[in-house]
Amino acid sequence: MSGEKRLTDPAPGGRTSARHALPDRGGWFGVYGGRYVAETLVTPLAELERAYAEARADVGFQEELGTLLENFVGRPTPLYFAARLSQQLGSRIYLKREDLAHTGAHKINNTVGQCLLARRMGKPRVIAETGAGQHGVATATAAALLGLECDVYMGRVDTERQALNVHRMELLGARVVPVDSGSRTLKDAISAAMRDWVSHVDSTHYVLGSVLGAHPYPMMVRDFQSIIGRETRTQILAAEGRLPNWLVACVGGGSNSIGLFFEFLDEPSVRMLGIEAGGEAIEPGRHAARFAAGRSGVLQGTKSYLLQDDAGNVLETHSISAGLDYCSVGPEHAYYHDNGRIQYDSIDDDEALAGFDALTRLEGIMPALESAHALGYLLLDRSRIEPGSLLVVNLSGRGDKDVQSVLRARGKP
Amino acid sequence: MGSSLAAQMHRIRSCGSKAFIPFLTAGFPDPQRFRVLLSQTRAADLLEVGLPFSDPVADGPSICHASEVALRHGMDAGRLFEILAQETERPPVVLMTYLNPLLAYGAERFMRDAGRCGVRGVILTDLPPEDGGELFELAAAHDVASVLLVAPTTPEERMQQIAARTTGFLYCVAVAGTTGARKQLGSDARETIARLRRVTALPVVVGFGISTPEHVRETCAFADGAVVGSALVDLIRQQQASEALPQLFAARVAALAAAAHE
Repeated sequence: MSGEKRLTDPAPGGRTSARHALPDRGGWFGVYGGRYVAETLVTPLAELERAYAEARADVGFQEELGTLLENFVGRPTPLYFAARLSQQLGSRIYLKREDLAHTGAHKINNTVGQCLLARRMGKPRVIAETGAGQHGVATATAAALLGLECDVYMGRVDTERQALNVHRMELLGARVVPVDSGSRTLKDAISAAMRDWVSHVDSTHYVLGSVLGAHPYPMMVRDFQSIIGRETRTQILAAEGRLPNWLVACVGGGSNSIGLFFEFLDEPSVRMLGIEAGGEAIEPGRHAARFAAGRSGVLQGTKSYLLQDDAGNVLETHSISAGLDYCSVGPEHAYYHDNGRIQYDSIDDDEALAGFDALTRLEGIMPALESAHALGYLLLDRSRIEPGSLLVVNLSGRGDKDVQSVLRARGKP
Repeated sequence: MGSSLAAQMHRIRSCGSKAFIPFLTAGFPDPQRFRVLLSQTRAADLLEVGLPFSDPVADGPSICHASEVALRHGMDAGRLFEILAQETERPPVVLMTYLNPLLAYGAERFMRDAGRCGVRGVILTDLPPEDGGELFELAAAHDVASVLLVAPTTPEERMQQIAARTTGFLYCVAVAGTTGARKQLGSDARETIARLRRVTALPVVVGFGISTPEHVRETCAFADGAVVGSALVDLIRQQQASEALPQLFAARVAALAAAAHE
C-alpha cells in the first residue's frame, strides 16, 4: 500500500537537481521561454505564479490533488508490457497507459491541478483552448467536478474533425466556442482564449493545456504532468529491475512527452526521443515538425522554435492528428533539443496510421493519432532505437475520437 | 530621453493642447490606398501605424481582420518603410507591432530603417519592458523612442519601473482587454492615469476603445492625448468601395482631432 501511495506523491519540494533548476526565476529555459504578453497580463501572470508556488508547497493542496488523481483520474495508470509488439520489433516495449486515465488521455492530470488552483484563487470561471478536444474535455470534466463555469475555444476545423469531443464537452456543461480566425485550428484557439483571458482576468483562470505560453505555464503544466514519469520509474524498476534505454513520446505542445521525460532527465543512461508530426511532407504549410523546419521566434507568450515565414508571420501547419497540429513547441523542449539531451524526429501521416494499425491489431489497443506517431516511429527502418532495447512509449491517449479521421484517411466516408 | 517624440509631446503640453493620434493598419485596405490614407492624417499630431502580424493576440476583431487583409496584400516591414519614406506629408509615426516580425527583420536593421523613414516611436505589444533593454537602446540610437504600455492591472511600483524605461510617452490601455471600439468609456483609464500621475510626470495618452469625438473629449480632460484605432479601421472597411474614402477618412480624423484640440 505504501508503495502504491508513493506513485501519487507530490513532486519533491527541494530543487536540488539540474532539471529542477529550470526554468529560472524569469521563466527562462536557457534562451527560450519568458513572458511575452501584453501589459494587462503581466501582473495576473505574476499572481498566478505566486499562487501556484504557494499551492505547490501546501500539503493540503497536494493531498487533495493526490486523492483526486487516485480516485477520480484512476492513477497510477498501468505500465503495460506489449508482448506481441515487442516480439515483432525485437525490443522490450512497455506502454505507459495514459489512455486509461479518466477521459481517455493524460490531459486530465493537468486540468485537475489547474482547476483546483483556480478554485483556490477564487476564480469562478475557467477557459481553455483545445485542438483534438482532449484538453477541452479534460477541462470541462474538472470544471464539472469542482463546480466551475467553463468555456472552451476550438478552431472551426477541429470542431468538425473532432465532433465527438465537442458533444462530450457540451454534455459536461461547458460552452464550446468555434474559432473562425486564421487557420481555424489550435493556434487560433489559443489566441482566442488569450483574448478572453485578458478581458476577464479578474474572474477567470486560463487552463492552458500544454507546456506552452508565458511563464509560469510551461513549468506548471510540466509539474502536473511529471507524475507520468514518476510512476513510470517505480513501475519499470518493479517490472524489469532497471531503467529503460529509451523513452518515446509524441510532441505537439509537448506536455505528455515532458511529463514522461522529466523524471529521467538526470539519468544519463536513459535516452529520450520526441516524435513530431511530419504531416504530408516537410514543406511550408504541410507539416508540424518545428525542429525540422522552424527557427527561434516569439508567439503566444513564449520564445521557442516556430514555423514562420521570412517576415516572421506564422505558417499554417498540417497533421492528421489535431493534437500535434501546432506551429510551435514548449520552450523546455527547445532547450533540450539544442543541448542534445532529448532527440527529436518526425514521421508523416501515413507512418502514424501504420502505428495506429499495429497497436490496434497486435495489442487490441486503439491509440490516439497523436500517440500513434510515437508508435509508428518504432516501425520505421530508419528508427534510431537499437533492437533489444528496453523502452517505454507514452500512450498518451485513446483513439476512439479518431475513428472518423482514420476512416477518412482510408477514403471511407 | 531627449527623443524627438518626447520633445513633440512636450511642445503640445506646454501650449496647453492635447495630442490626437489616429491608428492605421499598414497595408489596409491595400498598400496603395493605405498610402493615400496616410496623407489624409494631417489634422493629427502623431500617427500610429500597425505593422500586421499573423497572430495579433492583443487585438480585437477589427484590427485582426485588417491585419489578415494587409498580410494577404504582402505587407511587411520592408514595404511599410518604403511607403513611409515616399509619403512624407503626414505626422510623425509611432509604429505598433508584435515582437516576432521585428525579430525576423533583424532588430538593429528594423530600428535603423524605421528611424530613416520618420518613425519616431515604437510600441511592442508583447514585449515586457524588463526584457527590452537592448532593443530600446538600439531604438534610441536611431531617435526611435520606446513607448511603453500601462494597464489597469499594473500596480504602482511597476508603473514606476515602466516609466523609467519610457523615452517618448506612456500609452495607457483604457480597459483590460483587446483593442476595439466600445460604445461607452469605462472609468478604468481615469483611475489608471490618476495612479500613474503619482509616480511620473511623463505625458500619457490613452487608447483601446476610444471611438467618437465625445470619447476623445472625455479622455483629453484627464490625459495628454487619445488614440482612435478600431473605429477608423471600421470606417475604412465600411467605405472601402467608395471613391470618397480618403475624404470621409480625412473628415473623421479632423473631427476627432478638433475634439482633442478644443
